[in-house]
Amino acid sequence: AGGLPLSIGFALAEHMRGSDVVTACFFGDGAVAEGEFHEAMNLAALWELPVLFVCENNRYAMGTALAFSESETDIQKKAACYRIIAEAVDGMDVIAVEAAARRAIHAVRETRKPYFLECRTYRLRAHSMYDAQLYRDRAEVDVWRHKEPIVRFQGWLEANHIIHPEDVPRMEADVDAEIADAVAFAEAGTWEPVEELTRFTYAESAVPAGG
Amino acid sequence: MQQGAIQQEAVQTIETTYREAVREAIRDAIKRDERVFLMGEDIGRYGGSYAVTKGLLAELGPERIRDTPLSESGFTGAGIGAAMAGMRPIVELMTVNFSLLALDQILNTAATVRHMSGNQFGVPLVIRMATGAGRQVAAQHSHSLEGWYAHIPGIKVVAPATIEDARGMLWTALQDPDPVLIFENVMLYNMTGKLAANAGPVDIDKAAVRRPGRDISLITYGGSLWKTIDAATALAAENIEAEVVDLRSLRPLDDATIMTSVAKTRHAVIVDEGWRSGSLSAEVGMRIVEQAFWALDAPIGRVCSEEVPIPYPSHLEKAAIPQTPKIVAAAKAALGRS
Repeated sequence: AGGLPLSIGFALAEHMRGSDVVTACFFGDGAVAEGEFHEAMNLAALWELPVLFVCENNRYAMGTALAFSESETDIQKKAACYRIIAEAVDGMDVIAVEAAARRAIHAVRETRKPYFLECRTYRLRAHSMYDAQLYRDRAEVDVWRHKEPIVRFQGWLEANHIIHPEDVPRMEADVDAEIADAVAFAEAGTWEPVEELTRFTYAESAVPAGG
Repeated sequence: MQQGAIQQEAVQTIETTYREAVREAIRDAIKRDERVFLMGEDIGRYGGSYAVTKGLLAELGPERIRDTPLSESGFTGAGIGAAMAGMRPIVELMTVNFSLLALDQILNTAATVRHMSGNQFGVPLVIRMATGAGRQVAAQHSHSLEGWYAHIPGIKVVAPATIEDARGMLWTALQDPDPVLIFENVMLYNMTGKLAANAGPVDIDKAAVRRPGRDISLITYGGSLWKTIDAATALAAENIEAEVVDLRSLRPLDDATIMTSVAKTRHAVIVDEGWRSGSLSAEVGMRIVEQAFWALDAPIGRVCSEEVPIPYPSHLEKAAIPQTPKIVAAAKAALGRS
């Protein structure tokens, strides 16, 4: 939620400079319970700032389901009550998300006002490696696994003859290789020197750290 | 209150107030740099809760003097974002007490972004706020929490106690690549004094010796400076020459000036309007112990606020915070004089 007020500042800077840049701000469903979410919605609408808010609603704030944390679980309604144009889209559908995002960006560019897009999705895996997932049933996860967006998108691409099934193994191999290269690069890197522990606590051109 | 004792000779001076000096600093910065703007609660149409910004909305317009809703975290975060995006915002928080609603943004974002991003992002933001007791506005509005902020790596904390510093610290803070918090003690706004007509930027990282003396170092900042100078005057009548050190910058602390003074006087009393436990005075005292212990002839003394929410009634409010007689008594105790 801490990033929401920052997006107001980024958009305010562009507004004051008279640029046509649109600020996009991504956050989860958990953020909407924070006061900062509501402060940011109000400021964006009040000051007519060009921000695209994208809420990735995956139904869980870490281990707490939306129904246990929100009196109103229809998130886009919260933005609408600040007089921000808001819509929800099937976040498991890549094509629907792309279409909605284009529509939203276009609206922000035209109106120079904020727009709210809620992408309704699901977190198929644990929140972190420490998460034993005690808060949800295996069966629920399985239902959503069948809606998995990459598999669904692949099916759509094949049905529309944009890719052929035989292209898929090559694309997967390319991606695997790219990831392996990135991991190898990282593993071959050197650790930050301990002598530089406090470096960049402050800018180096100014008074040094250590107050 | 009259500020005169430390006024240096200047070719031409104007009679002004601390409040007007802050206002002129804001006006000057906004006129000099198109990236600078001010936002905060009741700064525009109301004229500022302490009348600091009175008249600026009409002169500079609503884009540069931006009234905000009561959303401290929201507009402080907006200031951080705008600073990261190349602007030079000044965020005004009505009082340090309300700044706690923005502490998430100040500590978890402004103070950390440079280090967490490996120097890819910085936050050249200035946050001004009123601090201190004495106006009978009770515990919701009267605390002195600048010492808390001085605990945080990644930000700088300054406390202008003079009209020159009220006029000059803002511009320097705006040139700083990192967040700077400016604490204006509410009892200083009405202070009158002379200011050089060409007064300009001053440094924001050095302490200043406001009154030289040989017998004891009285180390203070902000609203307590003038009470401490009064105490030094009273002590002089008893043949005790106190040196008064105005910290000016609470983070970073100017250890060199403090230690030079203590090495000379061999005695120290720290005057801090914050609560005693875990206070800035404790930090200053411990640094003296670490760096100048063998120069000391006696234990270090402290005059701090009583450990109580600042009360509303005037007599209790006065009793809760450092006052000149307490400072005189602490100095004499440190010197073994009765």
